[in-house]
Amino acid sequence: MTRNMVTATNTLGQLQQQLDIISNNIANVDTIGYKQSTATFTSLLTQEFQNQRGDDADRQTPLGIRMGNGAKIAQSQLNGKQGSLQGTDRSLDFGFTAENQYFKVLIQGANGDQEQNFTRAGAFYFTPINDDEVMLVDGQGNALLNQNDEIIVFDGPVDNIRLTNTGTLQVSANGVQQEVDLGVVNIQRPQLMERVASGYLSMPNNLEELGVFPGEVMVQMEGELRQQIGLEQGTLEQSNVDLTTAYTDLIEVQRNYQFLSRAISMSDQMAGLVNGMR
Amino acid sequence: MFRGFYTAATGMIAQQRRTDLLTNNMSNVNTPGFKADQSSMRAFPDMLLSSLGESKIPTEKGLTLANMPTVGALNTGVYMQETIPLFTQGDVRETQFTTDMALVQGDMPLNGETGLPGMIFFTLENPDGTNRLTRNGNFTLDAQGFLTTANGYYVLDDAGNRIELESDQFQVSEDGRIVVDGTDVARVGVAYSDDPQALVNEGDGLLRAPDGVVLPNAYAQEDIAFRVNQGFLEQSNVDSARTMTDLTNAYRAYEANQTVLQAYDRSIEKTVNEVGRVN
Repeated sequence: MTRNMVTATNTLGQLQQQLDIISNNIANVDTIGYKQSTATFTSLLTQEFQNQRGDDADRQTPLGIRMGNGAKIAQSQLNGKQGSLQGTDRSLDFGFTAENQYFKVLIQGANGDQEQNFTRAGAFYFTPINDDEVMLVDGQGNALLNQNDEIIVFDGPVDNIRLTNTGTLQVSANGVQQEVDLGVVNIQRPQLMERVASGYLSMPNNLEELGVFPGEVMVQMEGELRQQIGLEQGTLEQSNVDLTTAYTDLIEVQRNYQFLSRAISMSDQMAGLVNGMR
Repeated sequence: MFRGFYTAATGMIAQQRRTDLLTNNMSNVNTPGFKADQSSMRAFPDMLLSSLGESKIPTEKGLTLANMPTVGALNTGVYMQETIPLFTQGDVRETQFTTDMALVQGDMPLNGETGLPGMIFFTLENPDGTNRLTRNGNFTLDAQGFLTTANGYYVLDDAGNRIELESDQFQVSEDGRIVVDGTDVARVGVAYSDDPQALVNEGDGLLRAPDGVVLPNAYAQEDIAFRVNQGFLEQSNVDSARTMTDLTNAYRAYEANQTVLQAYDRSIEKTVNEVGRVN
């Protein structure tokens, strides 16, 4: 009886989630290095009804009628498109100019364990770790890693910070030149990555179950490959959220929501008609 | 006695079915590659009415003959006979994803029997080894690097093999060739059906060819024109304004049937409470 009500309700719940995804994109329109998510829909499974056995009338379609049950979000994809670069003239701001390349960051977990995550937000800082050494950290205070997965420590106080076109950070402290290769990876299958807090991407926990090695999912940019690193010093990569598209999608979702609410109220009125029969 | 009582009820059930179908279309107004379903209603098979009567022949003793004069044909209801997907090209919309593809078809030859144009589809591998078809080109790369649908069905190339790619950095030419760093690695499989109405809609964007039917490769067909557009998705071909109109229409038809049912109810009420009354 209330089949259409259920169909509409199923879809309304999913539209709500699409709305959440769009809202999150809009909220991050000013977040550096942010990559927008795009949700797409698919129809739910259909049910076949053999509503007239022995139906011998001419027909175009196979026997029975097939009724759908609404729609659901099929996937939410990470859009890896390049964001625009904003000049900041700050020597510790780095913007990527190549898609799918990420910095490696060491995250301290709640129970003391450490995990490697990936970010494109390149606003870095030096934090003192003792009287004469400084460590390179990102905006969240998490340590950046070099190409060999070690934290980056310089003798301080540092000045004259320079980035080479192969992603090597050169600093001098008291006239002594020091350099380190910033750890950069090229993530080959961004859709496999998990989005975690603060704009970080992390490897999925079930990678082994999937039968995949981390090396297949991402390429370490080392040796010859460092020539392909696209990093610009003194700039920050802006969010790649396109507000026009986001708002268009928002309007579309809202109207779909209205249409389906109308379908529910019609279904309710139909139930009212049945109740009013006697 | 009151034959139309159940006729009106079947009318309500059929209109209920129609609203179910239209609500599903409305739900999928945003689903890539979705084809709107259309309903066709059919009257219950005819039945021939005749009245039981007798005719008196004025003879000496008075002769009575039984006869049954024919009254005419009557249909005692309606039901939804078919749900027919509307196989027309949907609009295409840019998405920026290299793993999104839209099939854009030109003129298709008309089927000699049905008079309707043919249709082309992407080919997918079902876990049981058989093939499925879809118009939803919203693909992705799985952990192993195979091109799959959002639900993990492998997308097949024109030779029926899975498509394996290193990363999402690849180009698809308009004739379906997947190019990685300047070399052809595969060609997206596209199947042609000259009678798409015979396909079974399984939902989730999947269509199944009838048992034993193998659809031909669309690239080998000479008289059809189409192209594969990378970075685009074919939108649903549901027209929301029309669907809403049809929904209102179905609702009112439901209401009309309910009113007829009430009229019958009053007739029955009269029969029960007044016709048989003694005083």
